[in-house]
Amino acid sequence: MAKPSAHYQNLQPMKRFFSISIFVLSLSLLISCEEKSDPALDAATFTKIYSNNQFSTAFYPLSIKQTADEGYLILAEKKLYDTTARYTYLLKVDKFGNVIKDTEADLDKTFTNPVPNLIQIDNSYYFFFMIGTGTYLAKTDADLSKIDTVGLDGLTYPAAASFDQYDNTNSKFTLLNYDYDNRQFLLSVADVTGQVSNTKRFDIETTNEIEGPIIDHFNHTGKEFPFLAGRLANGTYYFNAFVNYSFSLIFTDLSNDNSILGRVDGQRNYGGVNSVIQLSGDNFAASKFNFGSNYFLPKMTVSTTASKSITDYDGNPIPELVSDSKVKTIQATANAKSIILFAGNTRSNQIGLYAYDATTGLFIGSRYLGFSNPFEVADIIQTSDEGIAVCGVTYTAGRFSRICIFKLSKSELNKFTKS
Amino acid sequence: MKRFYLLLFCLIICIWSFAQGKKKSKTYNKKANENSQFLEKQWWLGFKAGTNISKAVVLTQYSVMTPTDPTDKVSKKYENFQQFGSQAALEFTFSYQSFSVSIQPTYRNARFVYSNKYEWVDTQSSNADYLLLNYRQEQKIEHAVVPLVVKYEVAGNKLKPYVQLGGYAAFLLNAQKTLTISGIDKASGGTNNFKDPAITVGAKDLFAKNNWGLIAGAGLNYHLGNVRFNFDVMYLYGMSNISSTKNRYKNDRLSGVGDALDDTKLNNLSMSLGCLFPLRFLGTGFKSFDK
Repeated sequence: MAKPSAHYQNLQPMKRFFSISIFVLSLSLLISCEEKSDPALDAATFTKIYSNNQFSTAFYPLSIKQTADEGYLILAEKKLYDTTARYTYLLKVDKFGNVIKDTEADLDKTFTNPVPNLIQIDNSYYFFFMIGTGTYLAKTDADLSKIDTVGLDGLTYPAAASFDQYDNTNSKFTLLNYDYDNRQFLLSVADVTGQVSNTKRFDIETTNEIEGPIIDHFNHTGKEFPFLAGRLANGTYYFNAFVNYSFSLIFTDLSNDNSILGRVDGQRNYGGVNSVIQLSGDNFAASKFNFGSNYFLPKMTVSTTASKSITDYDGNPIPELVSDSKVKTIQATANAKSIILFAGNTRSNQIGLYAYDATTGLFIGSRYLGFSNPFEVADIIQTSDEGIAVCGVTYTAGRFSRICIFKLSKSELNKFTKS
Repeated sequence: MKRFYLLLFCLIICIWSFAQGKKKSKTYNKKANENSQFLEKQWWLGFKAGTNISKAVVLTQYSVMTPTDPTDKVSKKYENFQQFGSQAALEFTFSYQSFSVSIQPTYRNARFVYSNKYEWVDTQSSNADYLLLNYRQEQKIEHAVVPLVVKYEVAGNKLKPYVQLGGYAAFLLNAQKTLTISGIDKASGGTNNFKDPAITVGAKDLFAKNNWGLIAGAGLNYHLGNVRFNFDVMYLYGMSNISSTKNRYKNDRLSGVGDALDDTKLNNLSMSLGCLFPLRFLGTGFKSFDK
């Protein structure tokens, strides 16, 4: 066999060096794209389950708000085994979902039945709750450093509350209460000091057939009704409650008792609206339930001065949701366009997110959250990073009711809402 | 620090390469030494396979389960160097005198395990209800590993021990996670020790597409005829995160039961047996094995 020439030998080191350099270069390129911890990514997307080792304690979240420090404040109920009472519980977590503080140790155990909707006004957070059967307003800050409370005279059983965004004083709430003695729902305007400036009464019925389901709602021993209260852009107030024996969406000017401008009547306690947001004028996005079935109405035109039945409004049937599912609806922005996001509880024990184009009302995508253990939705918000946060409850080990948060990044939201 | 190690590694490789080139040029025109020097160089091609054990080094801990009570810590317990994996490699080696450079494209299957333990106790009634759950998470990660090492044979004739240093790049091929839940339930009228069937899920998205690290090791070459038999021990010291930071919570089946991968570096100890064949001068005129 012939030996290679000297010239060939002379080229060898050069070739070797060249090969090694290529490898080192490749390695350098590889390192430049290695996985690195990224706090921004950690804040943009996470899943958290807030565990508690108490066997007999259950938590039921109601509302979530993002705070100025990009953390989250959660309003929840805490329930002990063998009792129907649900105490008020607040949890503050940072932007990564890590626990900063909760109120388990220091909140008065007489504070019961907090009402969904943690309301933010400037740097303060408000919510309504019960002591006995009376209605109270609580005020706290983003760090839960102090909780002030004040009673609201003459109002019992708070059922729903919201911030009046169209009031110039930036200090008013619309509040829905139940009057057990007179079998009436009360719609009131209250302010941040607890002063009630206008209360109007709406009769439920002359008989007491609907009394049981309403009390079961407050005792958490039966179906929980999606009571709502708020104010529209034109100044009209609305509430979602029992009026004339039907679970109805009522529009009122609050001029007199039983002053009803328009209504969307439900089907006794078996059907009605379970979430609604005003998009513009007479355009709404809503969801309805009817004898166990669930429907989404991403583009619903409602005259606030007309009377209609909930069955007059067709919707998109969502058979994968559990019977009379809790549904939360928000208007959000994804892929630089306005969308309607519905969140409900699926029969596969997941939280289903369903996105619709706010302009056309067309379905554009869905996403399912949770697996293994059951998950149920409590609230959904769009976050400052243009992602979303979904607060819910999960049953760890299949049995312990605990608060959870799914934080989806902007890119995750954009991905599943890309039609 | 990582950049420093990389720089050091590159520097060693470059200096060694230049040194080899320079040394050769001195003897280039010396005809008498040409054959002798030529025989000191050899290319080897071979195959090796063996087993490995791994240790996960946590950079940052992550957890889905977050206790509301600050005294109730959730921590993962890692089982280090306990699960055996396997690897198989092709080896290309160029040797010159006592030094050799070797590149060894490897298929590696590494395993590591961690466990989470959760307890629920009833302190508010006389029932003393209690539930303990133990979540055992086993990771099986398959990588294409490309190690580049410089070996130095320290002594010997037929049996030559050597030491080696180098680096590697690893590319993710596949990954699986197997979750086994076991526990003790004292809340249903008795004590029930249970173990649920294991859940195995594909987890490729949960791991980084590539990672890199440094290598130190030793071994033995045994020369028999033209063939070199090899026992090789390598310690692969991970320098980069093997978890995907982007997809940490993407697997709903796992995050649903409270699992999230930590940011982790993987250290791996591998032992292999192999044989290498010379690529030049297999004829009788020149013998490839040691003179």
